[in-house]
Order: sequence, then structure tokens, then C-alpha cells
Amino acid sequence: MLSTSAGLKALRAAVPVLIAVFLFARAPPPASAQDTALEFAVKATYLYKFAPFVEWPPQTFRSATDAITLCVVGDDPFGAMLDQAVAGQHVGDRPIALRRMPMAVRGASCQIMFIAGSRAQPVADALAAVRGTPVLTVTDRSPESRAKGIVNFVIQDNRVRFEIDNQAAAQDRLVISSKLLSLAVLGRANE
Amino acid sequence: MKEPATFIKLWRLGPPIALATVVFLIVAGAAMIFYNEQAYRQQKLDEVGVQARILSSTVSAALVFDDRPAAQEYVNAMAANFEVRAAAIYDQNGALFVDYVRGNAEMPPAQLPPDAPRIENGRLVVTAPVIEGQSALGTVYLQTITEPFARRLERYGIIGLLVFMASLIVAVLGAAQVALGRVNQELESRAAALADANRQLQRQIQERELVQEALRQSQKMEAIGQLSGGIAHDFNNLLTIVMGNLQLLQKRLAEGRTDVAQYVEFAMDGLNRAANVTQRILAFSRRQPLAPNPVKLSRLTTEMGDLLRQSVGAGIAVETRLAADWWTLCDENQMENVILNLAINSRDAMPEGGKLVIETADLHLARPEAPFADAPPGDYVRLSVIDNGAGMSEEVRRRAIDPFFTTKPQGQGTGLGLSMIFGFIQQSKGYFHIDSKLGEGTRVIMLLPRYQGDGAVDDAAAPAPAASVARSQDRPAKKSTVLVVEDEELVRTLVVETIRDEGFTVIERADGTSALDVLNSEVEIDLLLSDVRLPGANGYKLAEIGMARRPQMKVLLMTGFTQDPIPENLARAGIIMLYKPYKLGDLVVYANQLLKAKRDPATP
Repeated sequence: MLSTSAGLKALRAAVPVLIAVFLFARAPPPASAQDTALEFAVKATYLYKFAPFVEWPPQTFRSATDAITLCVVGDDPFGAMLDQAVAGQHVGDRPIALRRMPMAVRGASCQIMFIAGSRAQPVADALAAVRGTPVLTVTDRSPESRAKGIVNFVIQDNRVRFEIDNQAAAQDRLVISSKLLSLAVLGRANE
Repeated sequence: MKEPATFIKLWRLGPPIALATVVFLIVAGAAMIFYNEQAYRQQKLDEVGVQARILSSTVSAALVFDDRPAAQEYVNAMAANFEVRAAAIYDQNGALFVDYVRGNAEMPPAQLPPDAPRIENGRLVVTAPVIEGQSALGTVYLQTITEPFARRLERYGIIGLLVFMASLIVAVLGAAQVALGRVNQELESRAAALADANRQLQRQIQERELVQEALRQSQKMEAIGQLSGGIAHDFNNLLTIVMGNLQLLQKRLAEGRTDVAQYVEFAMDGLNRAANVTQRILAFSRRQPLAPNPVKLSRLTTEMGDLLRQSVGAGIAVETRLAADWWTLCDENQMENVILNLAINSRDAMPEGGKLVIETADLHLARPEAPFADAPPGDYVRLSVIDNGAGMSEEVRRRAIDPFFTTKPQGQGTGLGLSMIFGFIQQSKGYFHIDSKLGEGTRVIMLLPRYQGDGAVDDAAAPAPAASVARSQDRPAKKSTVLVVEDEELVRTLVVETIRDEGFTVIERADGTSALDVLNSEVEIDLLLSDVRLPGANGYKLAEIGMARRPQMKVLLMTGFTQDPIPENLARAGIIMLYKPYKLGDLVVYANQLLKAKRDPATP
């Protein structure tokens, strides 16, 4: 436990430094393996950080200490990085639970769902599977793609930003904080 | 006396109270300033804290998702508040994320300062945690300016000024109280001194009154002593004369000698003089029996001319200035005595010769005038007797009318002359005044009220004096019966013997009761001769009852007390009053007159 905790701390300390390095790298992205690793490390931390800015319908949780479940659907791009980022994190009194699943299933009791897609179930199918249920879907697709989650990661000025489809969120009975909306890249266009 | 003492104590408490009030005011002012400062700080802290919390809640997402431009926007928005000098956001690890600095203000430190909130050098530093959904995400830092010290000083300066003014007022009041208290104390001590002086004065007045009362008493005693001493002296002399002559008479009779007439004469002379003395005393005591008649003083004086000139002698010129024409009412014989006495006094004051003036004048007093301030306004006749003799000193002048007071050598004056005159004038309702200075003569002035009643007629003959009873030589028929009532045995014996000598039948009684028995009996009585004051029934009562029963009976009353006047009804009935001491001859004359009138009612 002790070693795990120390590792976590090191990572947490490293993230802003990594971000700073990432931010001030003025050169066009060489799309190296290192860059990709850094990008996914940032996305991994962002995933659970969305939780405080999202309001789920009241019947979603049975008690105030129920965990918020973060599901990774399809081909997992994070690996152990995500486990490390989530480990020990809380949103208020709620712990973060991490679950990986090959396919999106309706009623799988996920509150946040990162849909990577797979051969068996492309992103669009997975999104369709949970549409209408209170799940914050997150995708990592090009902005031009038609099949995107409520939140979609984009790279802007060499930084990890995100789009938010507030209309889709509303259809899924999710309320997203205006603070989060104000940071979204194209969210403003959707309003 | 207790109240002023506590009052003074209260006044003395003034200064300490004022001082305490000033101290209290200063302490209260300082406390107010301190409290204000604290409240101001707290208020500022609260204000800035609220701003920090607002910033922290808006910036949370930007901090979480590392959106520096968005965070910078939020922080820069703080510039709208000109009080904010600097603003910054620190991340979860306390590292500076974004900051804003106005002008040359102090930069926020690179690492989160641990000691916020704090106020130093007019700067207020406040921090607030960035929390989203109960997770601490970072910290907001705000640095503002506080109100400039000078402005705060100004604000507190007003409070200080107010405290100063209030203290000044209290101090002035305290000082005024001290001054007032001092003045008050002085006033009180003066009032006390005044009250003391007043008490002393009252005591002195009381003492003086006592002394004056004692003086009056002693003067009265002196006057009484002088009076009684004078009377005793005169009477002793006269009694010596009477007793000596009677003893000689007794001795000579025992020797069988018959040439004793001179002793009887001398004794009678002494007795006459004694009767004269008592007459004068009665005159002084204003109780002599008077027979007032209308009199013109001018005519009276004229008629006395020869007598006056003879009395004063050749060395003195007598001048009369007789202007008075009004009548007065007085006893003519006594008035003659008055003028004669005054003339003789003047003669004695002018042994080397001089001038005597007798003056009469009519006088109308419109209002009381000195020296007759007590005379009411009206018409008066003034009689003045003036000489240019030795005069009198003021002391002598004032005592001149005291009985038995005399300046003449022993044996020359009785000291009763002026007092008799004074008594007579007063009894005649007049006023008397002596005006004299030593060496400048004497002026005696008398005022008598004008008389305008019956008898004030200018007929040729003067009214007949009452006292001059015609001595009738007619002898009444013998054997008239006379009832003599007298309790004093010697007097009764004398009277009875005299009456018997006249040939009357006499019944004698010693008291009123037995006399009444006689009067109520059938015995015939022609004349009642009675004393006034009697045991049993008095003379008036005897006369009244007797005359009721015997209308024809005549009454002759005798009395030694002149304050016994004849009652009105008895006077009308023709009763005659004889005043003791009377001459036995007068008694016989009156008795005969009454009995004659009884026999012959036509001639009263």
C-alpha cells in the first residue's frame, strides 16, 4: 500500500510538469511514441476529473458513498496508466471504480464511459447502445467524426482540450456544470 | 443646618466627578476607535474573503483541466475592483498557476504563502481554497489595499475631536462647579454671619427693652416716692402746727386761761393749708370738682389786672395783648388761679425785674401743629404767659410739671403749682406747653377748645359762679328733722353737733342698712345728710329710695372721693354734693338753703 501511495504521489507531481513540457513544446507534434504516451496520460487523469462537474439523475446512486464507476469500453488505450491515475481518487465521499468491458451494454451501471471501440462493436454502435441512459460518454475521435460521445477529446494548440455536446447530455438526463462548458472547445457552438 | 453641609459636600465632589468623566470619555473614545478598527479589519477580511471564494468557485474547472487562458481571464477580471492589487491561483500542490498584478504592486509569491489571511503595510492578503464537489483542487490568493491610514486617522480624528470637546466641556463644567461652590460657601458663611448679627441685635433689643422697662419702673417709683414724700413732708409740717397749737390750747385751758383764741386760729390756719394741699393734689390728679362755665379769657384777664400787678410787684411791667374773642368752657376761679400762679412763677424768675406779657388769641388749627401735635384740628383760644426771666434748662423744663418738683428754696414753693395747672388744663380738655431756654425767659402756652354752646352770649353780667352760693341769712323754721348717715364716727359726731347747734332735730345712723330702715319708716325727715360710701347701701341708693318715698325730702351728699360724680338723675333732682374737707359753715349754709327751698318751692 505504501509503495502504491508513493508512486501515486510521484505521478501526481509529474503530471503538471508533463503538461507544462507539453504546452511549451512549440514545435509541431512529431507524433512520436513518447508524445502519444503523454497525451494519454493527460486524458487518463481528465476522465475522472469530469465527475465533479456532472450531475447524474438522483436515482443513479443508492447512497452518498456509492462509487462512481468509470468504464473503458473496447480496445483500452491507457493500460496501467489509468489504474494509477484513478487509484485512491475520490469525488467528495465517492470513490472512483474502474471497470473494463469489451462491449457497451445497456444498463451496465457505468457513470462515465470511455468508448474506444473495437472490431466487434464500433464506436457508433457502442454509443447507440447506451444512448438514452444517464452515462457520460467520452470519445477520442477527430472533430469531423459523426460518432462522438458527449465529451470528445481534441488536440488544440498542442494541448488536450475537449468538446461537449450539451444537447446529447440533456437527452441522457445529465446536467453539466457551466464551468466545464465554458472550457469546452466547441461546446459554445453547440449551445 | 444639615442640608447646606451635604450640599457643600456635593459641590466638593464636583472636580473628582469631572475628572472621572474625562478619563471615562477618553477610555471610551479609545475603545470605540479600537473596536472600529477591529470591525473595519474584520469587514475588509470578510469582503475580500467573499471575493476570493467567488473567484475560487468560478476558476475551479479551469484549474482542474489546466486551462490557463480561461483561468487568466478569471483572474484578470479582478482588475475591475480597484482595491485589488494582485490576484493569483495556486494548484493542488501550492505552485503558482496564474496571477494578476496591478501596476507596481507586490507580486504574489511563487509558492502559496502559509500565513493568510493577514494585514500588513496597508495590504490585506486573503486566500481561499478551490473546492469542487468537496475536493480541494487548489487555492485562490487575493491581495487588496486597505483604506489608507491617513483616511482612517481622519475618521478616528473626528471621534477623538468629539471626545476632546466633550472632555473640555466637562472640564469647564467642573471648573465652574468649583467656582460656584466656592461662591456658594462664601454666601452661606455671610448668611450665617448675618443671622448671627441679627440674633445679637435681637438680644440687644430685648436687653434694652428690659432696661427701659426697669428704668420706667424706677422712674415711676421715684415719682411716687417724690409725691408721697412731698405730701408727707407738707402734712407733717401742718400737723405739727395743728398738734402744737392744740396741745398749747389744752394746756392753757387746764391752767384756766381764756386767752386761747390765737391757738385755735393757728390750728385752723394749718388745717386750711392742709386742705389747700389736698386740693392741689386733686387738681394734679385731674379729679378736683370743677364748675365749668362759658368764659372769655380776655375779659377774665382784664378783670384780674389789678390783682396781677399787685402780685408781681412794682419792678415788673405787666402787658396784656388780648386778641381772643371766642368763648371757652372752664372753671373761672381755677382759671384765675392758673393765671395768678403763672404770674407769680414769672415774678420769681425775674428777681431783678422784667416784663410779663399775658396774651390771648383765637386760633384755628387746620391740622395738628407743633407743639400741640396731639390736638385735633378745630377752633381754640390760646392763652400765653411770657416772661423774660431766667428761663429753665431743658432738664428742668421737662420735669417742671412733675408734682413736688421745684427749683425754689425750701419753704418757698410746694412744687405743686405747675402740676396743678397741667392737671386743670387737661381736665378742661385743653393743651399745655412750656417753651423755655436758660437765660432767655419762659413762655407757657395753653390751648382751650372754643365753646359755642348755651351761655356763650355777650351779656353784661357774667354768669354767676356755681361755687358762690348765696349765703342766706334766712333761718329756716326750727325743728326740721335731719337724718345724718356717716360711718366715720368722729366726722358723724362733728356733723351731728353742728346741725344740732342750728336747732334741727337729728337722727343719726352709721350704715346704709339701718338708714334704709329709717327712710322706710313713717318718721318725718326733711333733709337726708349722707356720706356716699357706706356699708350696706351707699348714699346714692339712700337718696334714690328716700326721694321715691318722700318726694319733698332734700338730699345733701358728702364724699371724700372726687371720682364719685353725682348720677345724672340725682343731679336733676337738685341734690348737692359736698367734697371733703369742707368747712362746717358751708355745711350749715347748704343745709339751710335746701330746707328753705323745701318750704318755698317757687325759689330754688
